Amino acid sequence: MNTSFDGRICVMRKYLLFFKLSIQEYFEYRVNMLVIVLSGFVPFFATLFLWRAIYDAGGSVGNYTLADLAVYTVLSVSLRLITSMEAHFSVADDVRKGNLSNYLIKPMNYFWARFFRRLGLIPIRIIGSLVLGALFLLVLGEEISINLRVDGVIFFLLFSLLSVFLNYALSFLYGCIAFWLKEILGVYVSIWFTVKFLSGTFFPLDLLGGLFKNIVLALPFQLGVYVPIIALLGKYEMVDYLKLSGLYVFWTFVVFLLVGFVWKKAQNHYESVGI
Amino acid sequence: MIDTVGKVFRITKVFLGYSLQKAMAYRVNFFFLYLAVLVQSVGEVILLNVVLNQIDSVMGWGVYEILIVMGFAKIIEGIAWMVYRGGLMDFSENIRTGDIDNILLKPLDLQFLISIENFAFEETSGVIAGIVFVVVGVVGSETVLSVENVLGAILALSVGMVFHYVFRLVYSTVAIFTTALERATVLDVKFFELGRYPVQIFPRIVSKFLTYVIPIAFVGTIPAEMIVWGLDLKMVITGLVIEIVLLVGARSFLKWALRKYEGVGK
Repeated sequence: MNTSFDGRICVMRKYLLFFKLSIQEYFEYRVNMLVIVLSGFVPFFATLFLWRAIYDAGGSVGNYTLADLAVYTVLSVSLRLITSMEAHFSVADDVRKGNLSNYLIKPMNYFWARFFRRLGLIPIRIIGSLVLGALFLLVLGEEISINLRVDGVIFFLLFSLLSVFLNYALSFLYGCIAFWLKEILGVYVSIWFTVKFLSGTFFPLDLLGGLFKNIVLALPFQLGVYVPIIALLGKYEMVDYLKLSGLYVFWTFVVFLLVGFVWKKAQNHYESVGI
Repeated sequence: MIDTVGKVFRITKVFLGYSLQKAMAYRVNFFFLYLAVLVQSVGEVILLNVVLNQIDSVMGWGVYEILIVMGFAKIIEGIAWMVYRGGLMDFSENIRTGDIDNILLKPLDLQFLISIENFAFEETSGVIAGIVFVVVGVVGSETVLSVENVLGAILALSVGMVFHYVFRLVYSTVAIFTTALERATVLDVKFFELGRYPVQIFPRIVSKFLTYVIPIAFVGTIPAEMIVWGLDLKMVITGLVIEIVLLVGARSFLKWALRKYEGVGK
């Protein structure tokens, strides 16, 4: 009997339980989930009509067609919903209320336990986003004629998958701030909007100019929304894919290293008093 | 009548004092909430700049005019968060836990209590940012202000404010019947983001719907129109009628819902 293999199966099974529980929890609050997904699209309705009004007035936005921007807008909301992970509130809550102790005394890694809990959101959000995204595009009546290339689709899926890990690690880092600050809402609101902006959720980041654009395109936040969508729109060449893959590897390595360092410091700071 | 007004004033003062103490207990949080609004405002200006880089106006609205619309929307949102949003969100939670029974027993109007019990002083940042947007927009568009225009804008803004309040109140009151929407508190925030742009960018039928049926236009578009293009008396009167209907409707709904309240706690 291969005990090492059995051991690994056992380890995976306990984390997969978190995944299963998460899905069950969200099916219990189906209406809530639907409303959360729907509410993500509502403000972008306005953005879409703004783009349309600009093009109807004879203007244009960068090198994008109206169809490109419609697809970008819908996909940016969907991708943001699916890949953002947003574990920071859960982590902060565990720290503030002292619930973290429950995890620390159990034979599991807190980082991965929380990861699998958040992973449970993804299937539901994918379904919700697909349905609503298709509906919105139908309602807008735009003739969607984007060049779907095989390499674009492959890298869209690959980059989206990689950004799940990266975004989770980043949000876990933000969550660790709760070890040092008692009240963290203000910090998170600041971070939340900044990350949303830098990820390209509001508009394609290449519309920015100059040095600011170069800085933004070197940061990891664009990898969650802007990069996968531009890949799908077929605007990258193979050399761009290689550079971006390198960027993913670099930032994933840096962020995971930071998580390890901060987590070690945080555990020394943890008091488990509960607030 | 005078006693009641005095009581209301004293209670409000107590809640204000308590809320201020709470805000000052977490000064770092207070600072970061102000920073969040600053970051958001800068982001919105960049977005506007990027979007309208190549054309002078959209449906007759230039960059500065749209800034005025955004500014009014931010003022309403800031006042909402500052004054009543926290209290009304707590109301939903109190219904679920049964804690509303304590509030019902108090010798004061329930709507008043739940609306003002949770001031958020840190949300003054949103109001300040909105005022800055409006001022910059007025100066940039070289609008000449007059007493009628400003009065018209204030009246239109009050309609937007009332609509926002009524929407939140009704949303919270629904918790008496179902907790299905309890966790989805973001919906009203996202919904009102539609008011940040001129409603004319939407298709005509949607634009009319957002003006007369679900009057989101009063959140930003109509106050901005009053300021920039002058007082529209017909629109002001329409708005005031809508305001009265909404306030009476929401209060009636709350009273009716409370008669159905069973107080079991969930």
